[in-house]
Amino acid sequence: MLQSPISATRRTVLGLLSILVLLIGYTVLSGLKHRENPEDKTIPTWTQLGDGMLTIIEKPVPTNPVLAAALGPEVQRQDQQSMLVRDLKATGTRFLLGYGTSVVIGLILGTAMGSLLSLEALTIMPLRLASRIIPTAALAVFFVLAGTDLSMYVAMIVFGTLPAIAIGVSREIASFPRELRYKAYTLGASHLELIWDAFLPVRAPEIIEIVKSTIGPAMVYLLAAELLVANQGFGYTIRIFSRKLDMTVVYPYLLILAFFGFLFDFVLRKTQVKLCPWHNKLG
Amino acid sequence: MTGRNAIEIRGISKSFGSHCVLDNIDADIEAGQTVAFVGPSGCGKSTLLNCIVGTLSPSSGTISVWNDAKERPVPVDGPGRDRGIVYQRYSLFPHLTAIANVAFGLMLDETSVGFRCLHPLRWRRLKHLHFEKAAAMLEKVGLGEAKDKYPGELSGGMCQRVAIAQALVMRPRVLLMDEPFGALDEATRESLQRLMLQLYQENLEARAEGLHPPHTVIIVTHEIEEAIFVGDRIIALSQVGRESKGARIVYDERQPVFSPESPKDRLRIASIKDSVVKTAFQSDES
Repeated sequence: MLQSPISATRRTVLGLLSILVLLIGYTVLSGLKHRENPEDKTIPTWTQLGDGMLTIIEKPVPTNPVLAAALGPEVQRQDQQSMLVRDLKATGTRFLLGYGTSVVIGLILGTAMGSLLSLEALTIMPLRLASRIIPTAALAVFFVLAGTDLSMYVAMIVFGTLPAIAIGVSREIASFPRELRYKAYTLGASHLELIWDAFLPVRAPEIIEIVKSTIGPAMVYLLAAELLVANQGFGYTIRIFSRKLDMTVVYPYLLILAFFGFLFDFVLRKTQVKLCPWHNKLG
Repeated sequence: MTGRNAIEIRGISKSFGSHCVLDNIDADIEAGQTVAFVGPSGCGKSTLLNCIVGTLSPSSGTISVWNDAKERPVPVDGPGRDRGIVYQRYSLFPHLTAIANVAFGLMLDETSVGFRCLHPLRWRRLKHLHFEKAAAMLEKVGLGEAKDKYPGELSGGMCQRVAIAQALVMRPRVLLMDEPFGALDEATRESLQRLMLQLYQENLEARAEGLHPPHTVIIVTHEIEEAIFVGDRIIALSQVGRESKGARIVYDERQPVFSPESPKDRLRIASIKDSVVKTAFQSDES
């Protein structure tokens, strides 16, 4: 019968099997490639990948003092950090600042829109338009308006995710049951209390879900911008090594990015369980 | 001083566009009464209730609620804490436990967001008092042991008990109920009807001691048996034969009061129902 339940053991075994198949498949593919060309780096061997990871986490040795002097103190100082630390700092700052701004403004704007229908009517058209424009395609606009420094990345992430967050949150707030809203007023709620003590906590699970669903797009927009214009950060490093067809660094970087995706998801899921213990008890 | 009338309804008409629902409704609800509004579905009884709650404004006429501070009835202007409401569904806040749902109104009424943020210690002491009051109220409606459960974990009947406690803890001038037991099975429904009769008994006890009756209730229901069993007064609305002109009061009589403990006297209820139906809804056809 379709959709018959399976045991936990079977689930675990099948899950591990899939990973094993991936690893073996990669090893076989890499071996075949290296039989033709031992220097190949498009499907690196495990040893090559290990070397790549060392490149990522080791502090670079100043091999050429003349070059270092020529590049100036700024570059020298940067070179004191490993590639990973340098990129984490650069990309992390851009992401946290951009996405943080987007979430905070999106929440406030969305809540206000969901509560005041005039404000919603006033802002929904521009937001809808903005949400349909592809931020990566509009990159040139951000160059022109915000330069190529930190503010451009922030603007890009905000532009890409704020409309979705604001519209989503306002929909959740606006669909708050009428009866509960009336009830809150008969219990003596002020407008602020209605928002703070009823709208937001009751809709918290859905709002967290909305935030969760925009993390992916935010990372895509940031990485796309970095791939094109950054001079440090994950996107920059991936661009440099991709150009050399050197995947020994690119693959670990992709995995690190995926790891952060998992991490954010995990943190938000835990937050949801912690903040809304009632949510999974709905009958 | 408290006035005799908890609610005064004066010349209420309500139209939605060209469709007239209520036509010149007049009624005084006395303090301590349990008034049941009955009528066929679509007769405007819920519309009238929403006008009393203040979520709907009448096209003409005024509804006033007795105000102790001003010692006179004050016209309704939007929902307010002097009128408690129990709806058929979405009665409780899903993110709060039963006891927190009952204490919720006390918090909203007595504190503000600013106070709670600026005076966390005072707020904690006050919250403790609120929860004590809420626990006592839950005990009274027969839900003492389920007080820490979330609405999602409670049955429909238990939810309505909490909703009644949530409204009563505010000591409203009037408790408004819109088909409150409509979604419940027969046995649960009867136990909740008996809870309403217990509240009515408290009114009688208070009157016997010369005190002000604490509970004034308006219950909207489409079931005449429920109206007879729970209410001490039935007001029937109907627009039979005058669909375009809106509903009017076709029946307004005191009813015998049933005891919360004794078994339901179905024969007596049935005979009263016959007379209500005859006078209220069949006069035009005969």
